Amino acid sequence: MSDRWQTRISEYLDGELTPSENQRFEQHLAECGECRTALVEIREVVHQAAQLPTPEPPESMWEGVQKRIAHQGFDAPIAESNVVELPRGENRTHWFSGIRALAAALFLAILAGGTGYWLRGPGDTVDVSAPELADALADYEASVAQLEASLLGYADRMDSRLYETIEGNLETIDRAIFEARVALNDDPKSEYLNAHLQDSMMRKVRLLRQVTQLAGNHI
Amino acid sequence: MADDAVDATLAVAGDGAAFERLYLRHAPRIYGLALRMAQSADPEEMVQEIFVRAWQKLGSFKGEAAFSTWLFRLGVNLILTRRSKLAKLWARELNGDELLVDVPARPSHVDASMDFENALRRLPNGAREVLVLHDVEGFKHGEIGDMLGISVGTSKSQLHRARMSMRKVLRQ
Repeated sequence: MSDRWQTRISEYLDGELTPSENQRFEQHLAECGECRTALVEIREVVHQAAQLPTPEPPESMWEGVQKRIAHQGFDAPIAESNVVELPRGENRTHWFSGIRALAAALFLAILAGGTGYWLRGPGDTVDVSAPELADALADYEASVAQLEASLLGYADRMDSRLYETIEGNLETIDRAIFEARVALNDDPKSEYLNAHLQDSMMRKVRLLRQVTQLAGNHI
Repeated sequence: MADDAVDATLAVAGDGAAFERLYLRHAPRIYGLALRMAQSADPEEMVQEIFVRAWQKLGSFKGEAAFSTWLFRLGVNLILTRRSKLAKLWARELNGDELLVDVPARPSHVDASMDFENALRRLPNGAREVLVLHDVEGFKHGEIGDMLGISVGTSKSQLHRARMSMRKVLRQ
């Protein structure tokens, strides 16, 4: 077998040679029985590799994933039954109009407590002053408004089923924000409630940010 | 938007049902990757770790590449990291330059795909990884280079090397 061409067999099979290289390789094949044999055998390797069955994972594996996620302290996934599905044709902008009022109410509720808690990550709680909190909430509100506007720009071109699903999930998050706000009225210094509120607010921003980014890439 | 991108987006917002759909679509291929690439004693544990990490890192999925590519990259990275740790733990040098040698002839009663799988396990790590990703999973050399941290040229030469070794098995 010619060493010169031996290393090019895979490239030939994968269509990676230039047209002139391809032509020269085929001229060589016509003269070299060893390379022809190698080509046939390697083609069979490629064929068998592509035909390998995809193994079926054990059914218990998903349960293990869920347990590990829960064990590591990440948010428990929202059950499908808890995700609100909006009826088709409902006004798509309804949750946009509500968010500013909600943010304003939230802002006032937390300020009523004097100071609030702002979490940077799990277990990393920091006290913030009222002005700092006001700045953070203003930034949050501006981010949400900007992302909502971006998403609206894609709304008409987005699959209606998808849009409704996104709405449903945003509704779920909004409800969590609302419930946390109500609870904070009674217990404004609760670290747990503040963390829950902030997490829900961040979830909303993450969802909006990712939806708009994906829409920008795919629509 | 593809189903994966939609479900990834919903999962970022904490929608567990969407994450489960991602799992159901991709777990078989990831399981195959763990079986063939990791050669771990417990591929199920490896797969679980990959999906737990995927859940943690979903926010970094921007939809610029296919979700499967993103997930495979994450999986390959974890598998390589795990293997490196195990190698240190066992204080055993994994020789990537070993060649496939003395492969036994295929008994007539053994299923050909099992024989292929067995031969695959005996390939040097680098060659096996590239063959699995290219010929089994269908990734391109550029993608494989990104996943494994090697050049396109190295990926091509490893692939050819792996195929040349595997053909000896099929010849027998």
